[in-house]
Amino acid sequence: MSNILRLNNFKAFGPEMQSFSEKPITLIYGPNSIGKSSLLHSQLNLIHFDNNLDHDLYKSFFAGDELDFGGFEKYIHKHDISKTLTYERILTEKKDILKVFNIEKLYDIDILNKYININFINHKLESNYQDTDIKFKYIFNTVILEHKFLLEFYLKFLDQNEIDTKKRKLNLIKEKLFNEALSEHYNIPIENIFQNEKKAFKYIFDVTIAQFKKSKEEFEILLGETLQTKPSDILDRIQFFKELKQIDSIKAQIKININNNNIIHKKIIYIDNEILFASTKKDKLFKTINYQNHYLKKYKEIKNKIDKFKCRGDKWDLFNDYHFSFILLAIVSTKISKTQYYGPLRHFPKRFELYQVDKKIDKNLDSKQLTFGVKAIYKLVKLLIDAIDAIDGIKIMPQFLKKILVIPVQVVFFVIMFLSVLINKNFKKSFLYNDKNIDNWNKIVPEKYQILGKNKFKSSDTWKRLIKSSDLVNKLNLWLGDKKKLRNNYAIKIKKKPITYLRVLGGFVSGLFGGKNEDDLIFYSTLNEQKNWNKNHKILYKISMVWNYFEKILKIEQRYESQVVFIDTSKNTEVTPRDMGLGISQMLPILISALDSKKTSLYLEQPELHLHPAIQMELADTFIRSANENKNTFMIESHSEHLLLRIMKRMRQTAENKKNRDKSLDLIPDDICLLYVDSHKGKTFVRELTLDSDGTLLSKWPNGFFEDSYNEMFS
Amino acid sequence: MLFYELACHPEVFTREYLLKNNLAIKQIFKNITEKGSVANLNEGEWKDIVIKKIASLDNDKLKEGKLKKQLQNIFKVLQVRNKIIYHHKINNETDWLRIIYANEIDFSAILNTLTTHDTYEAEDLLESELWDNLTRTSSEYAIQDEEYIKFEIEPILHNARQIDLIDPYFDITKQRYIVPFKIILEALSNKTINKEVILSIHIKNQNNNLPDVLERTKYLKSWQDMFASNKNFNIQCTLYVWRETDKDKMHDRYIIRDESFCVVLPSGIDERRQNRTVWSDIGYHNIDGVLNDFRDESSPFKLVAKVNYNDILTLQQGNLKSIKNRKNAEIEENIHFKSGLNIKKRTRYAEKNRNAIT
Repeated sequence: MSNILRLNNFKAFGPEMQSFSEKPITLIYGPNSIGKSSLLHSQLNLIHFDNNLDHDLYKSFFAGDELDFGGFEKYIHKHDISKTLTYERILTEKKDILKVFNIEKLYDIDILNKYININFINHKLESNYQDTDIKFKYIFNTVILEHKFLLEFYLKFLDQNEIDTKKRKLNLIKEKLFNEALSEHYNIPIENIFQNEKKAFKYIFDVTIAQFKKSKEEFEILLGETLQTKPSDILDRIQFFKELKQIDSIKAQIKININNNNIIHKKIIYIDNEILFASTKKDKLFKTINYQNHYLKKYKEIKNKIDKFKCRGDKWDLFNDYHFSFILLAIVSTKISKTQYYGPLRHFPKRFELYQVDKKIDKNLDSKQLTFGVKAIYKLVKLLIDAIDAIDGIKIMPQFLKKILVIPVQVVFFVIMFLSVLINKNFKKSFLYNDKNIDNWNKIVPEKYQILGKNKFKSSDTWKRLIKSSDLVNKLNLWLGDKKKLRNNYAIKIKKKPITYLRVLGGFVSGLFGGKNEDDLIFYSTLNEQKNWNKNHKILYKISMVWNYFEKILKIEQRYESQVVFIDTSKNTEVTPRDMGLGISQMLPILISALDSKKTSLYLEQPELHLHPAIQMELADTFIRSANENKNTFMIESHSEHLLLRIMKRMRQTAENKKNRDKSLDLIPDDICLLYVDSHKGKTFVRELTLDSDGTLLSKWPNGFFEDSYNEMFS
Repeated sequence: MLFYELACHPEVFTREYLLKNNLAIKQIFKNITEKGSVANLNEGEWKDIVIKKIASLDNDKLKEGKLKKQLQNIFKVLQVRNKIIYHHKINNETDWLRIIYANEIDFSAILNTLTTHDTYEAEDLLESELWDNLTRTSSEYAIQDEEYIKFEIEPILHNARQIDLIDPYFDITKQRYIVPFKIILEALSNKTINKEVILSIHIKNQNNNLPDVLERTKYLKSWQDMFASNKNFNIQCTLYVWRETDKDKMHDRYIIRDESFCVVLPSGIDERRQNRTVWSDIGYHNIDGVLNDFRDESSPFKLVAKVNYNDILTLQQGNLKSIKNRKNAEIEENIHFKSGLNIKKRTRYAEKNRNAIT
């Protein structure tokens, strides 16, 4: 069974929750203008939001012009900002659930496997507009842990009651008390309370009764003592439960149990829903750091508590909400850390974009590109973080003293950040919203302070990948040179030629003053621009000439620039993507991404555009291979019948299990999630269509998708 | 008959015969896309042979090329509409007529290259009274007794993978529903396909059958008990209980096979010995409208409970949540499930004298 993703109130989708399975390849079909893209965008929005905690009312910053669906007010259903946007991810796969534990390596998976049955973990994200800002909350809901011990214990308890009629009576009273109290506590009817919540309460209740020898009278006396009021009073009973709900109270109860040796089974699972609030602020850097700090702190507190329990002869495991909350945050973020998006119109590289300086120079430019101010901030921040860590690491120092010492460091940190924004107006633009800078930031700071995710939403980035990886060029040449796939074959070559040092210096200087990005630097390579630059920077030009002269004398290593060249193999002519057929050039970014990416989520809109049906099928094979070998996941919005037919064929071949088949193209129903977006009675909905193991469609294809040619011929 | 299953000798698709009878063959298979089905004999071997024969038609010849394209399209639609019904392999048989006769069901018609006492050539079939009976009407007017229900339901359910039974008033605790339901389960269990059948039953949340929490749980559990008794027949039953809204009401009753053939039952599925009724095929293109009403994501109704063998889910805090997980329920409450409807798997091989053709 696959994990389930759910959402509502996003663009065309109304308040009803839409559900679909999380599988390696998701295909979205449906009529035009019905909400297919909205479904895909909703997932990108979630990723962006989860990574950056950015939920602006008017703007979305994450993919520039390629994907701009405005802010919250634009994508909330019917533009009604009073509505709440909800995302939900229900983990049902045991391996995913166990990953929750594995991330922090708190517990051994074998032990968890042995002792714990986890049904599912439900992670929910809600956001809405309140008090001029968008509030959001994470709800880690319904963590169901069925403990084997709990069941055994309960069974034993029931058996004992079977024998003793008196005790059976007690059981009935207990049931009544329990239901009343629970209902009062939640202020809703008993049938509306989640089963796991009931179980948690019931267990606590049972433990309490069990240890007091299960007699009604004894129980009432003890209950009375605990509450110091009459046990018959319902309100007091509620208070009792409220107290039990507190971790400290449970701890106290547990301590009594241990001391009295009254415990039948020394394991407990505490289950509850927890809502975590975090208000949005405008700078995502601050937000991220604040947010992570906050939960790190919480997490440490809880971990300490758990550790204390574990010290007692390793008999106790207390799983609590904070623990899960933190780890779930981590698992969700880990899942989505690598993402690529390709819209229906892929980026055409400008001619100069296919040039790039070689690795060594590239690296130099990277560092030179940063202004001194930014570099200084990096250094300072690193120092400050080291200082916090050092303080935290001193064992003898009391906790309160650590807190006091950390405060000034944090103050200095934030002052620096604010100052840097004030000093340089472009700081925010050039630093905070630039992926490259975030990468650099991540290189400098320790792992726990890193900004989550390296989103490469822009399709323009794929062209640069070609220059960097000769492996990728080889793979792509194999694909493009295959006569079965393309009639007119192409080959890619990377040409290298020496570059002038003038440009390097130009890059250095421009980086120093204006924070120009890498594209601008390469732009200087065009002759006119270089001449202009020479005119405007006469002194620098002279310096660079001198520098060139010295380099020649000192025989400093020669440097090259690389250029991607496409060769039409039938005519042996150099072409650029602009000169190639639109189909091939539009497909290339997708192809590059599918061949080169690993463990990445690829979001593709209409990958089949401008492609011949035969190549659409080959593309389907590439996706399947990429999912199987590179462990990539795909969410593809499409109208292509051919793409689906190839997928169905591969499923059939897998089911037939012939020995000579290509196993890298194997597909089973658990690999494919086939979605159809449609509307009925004014409501847009997503339907998951069922595929049989042999690739046949068990569900009806709505609106006769495959029947157009038949209808054209016969009706 | 509302739904028929045709068996076809693969030789019908040899080039010469096809070219000679192309209009009749197209006519027959076009009709199957609407209201019938064709047997995919011998573990799918039939389809492989036929598809190869169609593929061998010459694209370059105008008439052949056109016929090839048309037949390929017809077969694509048959496939998409789940009209090519899988049949198990008849061991030690190579003769296709013998395979057809040795099958577990009596086919409604047999298409052959020769007309014999029970097989028809394409054009003869179209002119026969049998074909007229099979195709002339999409409605049947009869008394809805056990015999009639059996007659109509069995072909509809034969080797189906997914059945939706929509009857807002269906109540398993009432006697008049038990016989038809037993017929349905028998027909579904009498399959030769080695795969699970999904039977979804859609009913209305009525005040009288779901009055309060306790009664509701009890009522839903009675369904679960009944489902439990059919688990061995590889039938996965699920009950969906829907709450209607002020705007949208539930009343019409349907049986839908593989989401591709739908019959409307004006008087419901229950046995009514006194009343005459008309069962009608609503047509392939109208099925979406019915299905959309009974799929959670698109339904105007609210799904308030869902019961299957493992779980009883009811609406809590806006979502369906388990109120009775079977595994736990068995341990906690020591529940002894009553045996539900006892159905027996029947063997229904054709009893005709098969030597006649040899």
